[in-house]
Amino acid sequence: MTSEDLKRQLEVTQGGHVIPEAALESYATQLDHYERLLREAASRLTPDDEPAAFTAMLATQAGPEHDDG
Amino acid sequence: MVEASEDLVVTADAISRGDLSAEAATERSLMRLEAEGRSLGAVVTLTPDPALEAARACDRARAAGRRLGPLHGVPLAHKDLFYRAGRRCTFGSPILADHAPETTATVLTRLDAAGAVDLGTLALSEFAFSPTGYNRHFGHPKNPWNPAHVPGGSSSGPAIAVASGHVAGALGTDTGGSVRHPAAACGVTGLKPTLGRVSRHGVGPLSASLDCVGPIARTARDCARLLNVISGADARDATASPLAVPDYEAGLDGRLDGVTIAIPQDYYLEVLADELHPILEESRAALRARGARLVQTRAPDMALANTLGQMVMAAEAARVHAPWLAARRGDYAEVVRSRIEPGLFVSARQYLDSLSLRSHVLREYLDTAFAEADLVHLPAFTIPVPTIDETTADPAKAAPVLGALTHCTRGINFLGLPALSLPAGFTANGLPAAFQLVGRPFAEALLLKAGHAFQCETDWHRREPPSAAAATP
Repeated sequence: MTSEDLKRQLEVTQGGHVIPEAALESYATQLDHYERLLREAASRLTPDDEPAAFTAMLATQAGPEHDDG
Repeated sequence: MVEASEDLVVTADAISRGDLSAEAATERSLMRLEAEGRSLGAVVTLTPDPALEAARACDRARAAGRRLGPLHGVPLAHKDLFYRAGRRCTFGSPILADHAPETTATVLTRLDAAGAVDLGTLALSEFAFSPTGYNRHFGHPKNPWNPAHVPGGSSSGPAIAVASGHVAGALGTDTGGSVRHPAAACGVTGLKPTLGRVSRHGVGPLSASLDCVGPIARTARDCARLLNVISGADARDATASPLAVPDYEAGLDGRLDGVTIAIPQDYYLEVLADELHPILEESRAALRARGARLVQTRAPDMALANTLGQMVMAAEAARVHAPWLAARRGDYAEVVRSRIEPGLFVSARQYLDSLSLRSHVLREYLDTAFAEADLVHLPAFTIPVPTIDETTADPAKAAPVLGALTHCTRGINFLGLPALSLPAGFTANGLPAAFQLVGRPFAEALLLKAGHAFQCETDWHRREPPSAAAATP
């Protein structure tokens, strides 16, 4: 990913941009790092995984003191 | 007439008995916030007229034999991120200097119903970013133990005000440690509840998947009282958990028999400053003295949780900030802007993958860091509380310092787990040191029980910074 990629993305999503080149370059580096880490981790995912599983997991871990009545 | 104590529960009980009037307690808090609070940079907006009127109403109610609730007449003030209809709420930014919401946060409504008196709003980092309290626009708040040092952030005002005895309790928000950082740096107790335990309706958003509302107070018992009042389902916040709210004060018996506390190694301890090791060991000994069993476990590499959390936070913050970034980019401090703007480029696939991985990361953490234990014992910071200069003068030198402040806190938000920061001593620079206890999902009752037991064994939470000690009658 390059700063040019990010500029094009801003043109599409924001209709322009006010972010200086140096900042865009720094963000591109950061986003590449995110993507590398995410790709490694995403091998754990199956098509059945979804964000809502997380809150469901929190709730199922709650102790009996949270039961009504 | 009894003077207001810094303990919230003691103050509440004194007012309930009639040993202290709500009006006197409110006048005292207002006076101290106006004088010392402002000089420490802890105050944004005080509203003395409605506060005193509410306090007098509490006193009239008591005289008529009515108790409004468990916080009857107790003066409180909160981070300037909680909406009260008609009162300005700045989020710590000049962009919202004149922002006056039309609604009131559910947590404030619940505190009102419990009889609390709202004094106004307290300082925070710009848009709740920054673990130090840094705010380019409103000035850097100061640590009451030594004004050259950071008070921690982003809920800096609440921790300063509680540590200094200006108020007995305050609400903050915690997205990556923002209740625990200032509580740790100022030597008070701070609780980040489980994601969803407390409603966020009417709370300025940073990151919907990570934001939690939590109390800062002198003691774990005080935090329990506040959590009792603010927790629970909310028709105005679909993300608030419908799970029943137990009585968090009921189990505070000072004992930890049968409780196992894990000490994860590796990630948390390998970067810990030497002088913090004996302080943490003493805190573990105090827990052991109260009956807890301590075991070593393995910490998973938290780099993944931290990075996924960062991506989610940036994407969600960018959604909130996109219009302001386009129109008023110059009104953001560089350090704040540079944490939000990358979120403009996070793709839907990256965002959803990050959130879908969350349950896997939580499972791994519960299986490794917790193993068979009930709680986890972690450092709060991996370094002593730094000076303001160390975190602002040179960005290159500041980066590792800021990283050390969030090293042990940020990943806990991605995991959604509850965590309690407890004062545990002092480092050589004279600043407070602290540790965290982390619980399993919705284990706030056990966390607070452990915190209370620790505070029955130690008196670090009783220490007062110089300004508070000088003001004590």
